Amino acid sequence: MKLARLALLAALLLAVGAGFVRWHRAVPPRLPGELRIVHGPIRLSLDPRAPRDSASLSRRLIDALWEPLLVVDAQGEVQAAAAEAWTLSPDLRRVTLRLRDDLRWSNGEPVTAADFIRTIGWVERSGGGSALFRMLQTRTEGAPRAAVESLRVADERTLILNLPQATPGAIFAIAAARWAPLHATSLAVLESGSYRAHPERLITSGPFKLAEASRKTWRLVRDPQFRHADRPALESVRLVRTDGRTLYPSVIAAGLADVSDAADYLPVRLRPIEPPARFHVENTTGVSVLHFNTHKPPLDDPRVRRALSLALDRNTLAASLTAGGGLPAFACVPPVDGEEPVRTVEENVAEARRLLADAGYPDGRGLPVLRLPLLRSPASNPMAYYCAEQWRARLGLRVYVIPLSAAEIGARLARGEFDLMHYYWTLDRGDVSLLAFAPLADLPLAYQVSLSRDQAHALAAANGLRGEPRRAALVELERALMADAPCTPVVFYRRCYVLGPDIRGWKTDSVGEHPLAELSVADSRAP
Amino acid sequence: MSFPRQASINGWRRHLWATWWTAALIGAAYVAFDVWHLQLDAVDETTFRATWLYRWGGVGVWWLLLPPIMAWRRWLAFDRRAWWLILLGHLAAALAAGFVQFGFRTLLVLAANTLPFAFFAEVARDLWAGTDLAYSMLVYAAIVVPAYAMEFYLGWRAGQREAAELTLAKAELETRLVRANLDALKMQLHPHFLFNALNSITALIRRGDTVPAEDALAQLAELLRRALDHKQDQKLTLERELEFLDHYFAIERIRFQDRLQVSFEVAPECRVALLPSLLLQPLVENAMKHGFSRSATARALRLRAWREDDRLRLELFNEGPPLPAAPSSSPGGIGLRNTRARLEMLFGAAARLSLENVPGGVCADVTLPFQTAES
Repeated sequence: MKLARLALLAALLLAVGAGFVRWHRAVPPRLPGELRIVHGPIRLSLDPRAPRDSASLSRRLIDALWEPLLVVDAQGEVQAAAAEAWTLSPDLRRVTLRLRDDLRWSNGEPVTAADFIRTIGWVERSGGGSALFRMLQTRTEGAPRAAVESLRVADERTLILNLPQATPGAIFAIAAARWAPLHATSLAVLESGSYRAHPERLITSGPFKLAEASRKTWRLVRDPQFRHADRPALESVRLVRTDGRTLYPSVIAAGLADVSDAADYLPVRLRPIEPPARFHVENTTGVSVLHFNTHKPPLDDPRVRRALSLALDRNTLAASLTAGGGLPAFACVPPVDGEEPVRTVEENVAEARRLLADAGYPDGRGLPVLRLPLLRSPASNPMAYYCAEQWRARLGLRVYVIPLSAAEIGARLARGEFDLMHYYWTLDRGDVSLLAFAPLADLPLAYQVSLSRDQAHALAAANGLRGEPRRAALVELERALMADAPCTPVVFYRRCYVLGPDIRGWKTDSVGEHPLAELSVADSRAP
Repeated sequence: MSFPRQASINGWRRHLWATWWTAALIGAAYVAFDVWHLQLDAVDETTFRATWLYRWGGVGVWWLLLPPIMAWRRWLAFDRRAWWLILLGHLAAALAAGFVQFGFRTLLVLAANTLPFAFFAEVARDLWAGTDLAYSMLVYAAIVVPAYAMEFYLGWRAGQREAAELTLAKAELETRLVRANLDALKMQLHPHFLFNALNSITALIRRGDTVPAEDALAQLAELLRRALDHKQDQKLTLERELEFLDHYFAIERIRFQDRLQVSFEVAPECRVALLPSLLLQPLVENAMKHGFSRSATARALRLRAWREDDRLRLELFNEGPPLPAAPSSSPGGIGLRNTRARLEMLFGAAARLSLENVPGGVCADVTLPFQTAES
């Protein structure tokens, strides 16, 4: 019996060992100029219609395969890509984009303005929604939703977008939506997913082209047709799949990959890592925000809303609930790493009490119970839950945390049956105009923040600036938007990467794009 | 369907309770783990809501409901109630348990949010939107189904055990029957019996009574044949047993001549009654051996059979000396004990065999259930 148990144990150990050896052998050695990215058990897809976080690996692959018109850089500023020039008309209703003349598909054919029009039409027809249209739905003075009025080709290299209303963030929206062209033959290939079996059938326009997209591994190789002679620096990019994010440090330490996919800060930091491999933690554009229902008492009174905003202890919330994975948010727009965080909201419990008393609710007396619909498990959404606890202790007001499903919460939102609502936004842009973007939060239009006409023009003007002047203008605008506290930010989130010793060109990027074309490895052909 | 003995029921009930309480302990450990990870430093003062403990109340209430649910299940045991009553009973109980649990959860959410009782209806409405009674019914089923399953299993085990015991009893019975057959054969083939029978036949031949001698030989042959034929049969009609005795007495009459006066007083309906084969032979043999053989004046041997309610009564009287003080030491003791054992194994307490002195002789009294081939 004892012998049988020992034999069983030995067999198990052998099986585990054999599995590891097999996996280890399945990871081929690094080719010259190859970047290996380790990722978890996620399903990768190149379908551009699926909405994704800009930091997702699928999104980064798409960006590497198709060059968009414009891009947002790590500082949140718009940069040229397939379009070399762009203008926004003085009435903020027309965008003109001029394409480069050396754009080529991977099969050598020229990329034209018509390719962009065809792509956006395909996305709209197939019901996948268009990130571009969604991003253009800026609200000005409470006007209803609006998207693109018309799209047309002025000539082979010029695109014109006519917008139904003044849209100060139009350039940003185009850049953040990563509006890229698809080859006529690629539409069917993408729809059928046949590129997994026949990667050569996918005609692309970016710095890389697809070489392999099997269940086991994905591989991109440098496209010689790409307009930049010396970009990308890498010869190829290969993906290494693992069973979980906590394995990233081990895989990098073993030399089986050069960099990890993005991970939540906490799970990866639980495991130690040996130098020269290192962690890279950066601020994201993720922010936890509490919205107030400004259309019904008592939160239709700005004093009550401001009192609630002032009474939160965001430092404690960030420290307790995110264990270092979050930062206290004193503004809605996340700070860019290295910059001084912006403060558009403050904390002052005494002032909060005074405001409540002014509004007729001394020590919270007479204030009706506020209703906060929340997903059933408080563990899944603890931030709003603990905010309610802080308000109860500091202001004496009662918050009824209603445990509901996501569908039920949506229904209540539609009917306006709420006082408070918690959102976790992952933004595509570090821009205050996000407050006026309906698609960023599924909040019904009536409860959203709206830009005044002057503010819209101020935003447009700010977006025309660069560096510190731009930032100062945006901060001023946000401060104006937040004066009546239509919502209150609570915590910004952070993400983490594991970097191997050979990775080069890695920069902090709050949007999380980390363009593959800008990275290199120690033995890359370019320095 | 046979059901388990009480001792077994108590045993598995203990196991079931132990399982549930183990689950409760695991649940408590989970709650403790949850509490351990509470981020109470995010709030200024700890409240019931901030501990998140109210989340577990809805689960914990099932442990409070466990005793009444188990009592209800016992009341709705399969061997006591009709299936439709069991189904309806449990359906109603599952719904009731679901509502109790829902009410408890509502109260907990009310308390956790420090809301006045006036909010009960609103909280109940909010919770109801996310409440699935099917879930409660599933939990209820998870409690009662294993109990029923265990009951069935133990019932099946008891049935198996009973069948095994019956097989064993049957084997023992067959052994006893074989032994009875052997005993009977031994009686008939007993040197003394054979000697007497053959001497009697020889005397008939010497006297020139060849026809009676031939008859006697035929009777002897028939007696031996029937004894051998009967050994596989468990039960025979009284009629057949009497035929067998006729052959026996025919041989004995050669020896005892007119002194042996045998009479059968058998009620007509008793002739078809079934009784263990060769039941009477050892008794008759006993009477001949210890009654007639030992008393020159003994003459009568009387067999009576009658029905008394649902029992068959057999009474065998023989003239002769009374029973000795210690019957077990008598030569016929083994045969009688064997017969008694067979009766007990076949009929249990429903059968009885007694032997007692009566004026003028000894009377063997046999009582057994009245059975016929039709019944």
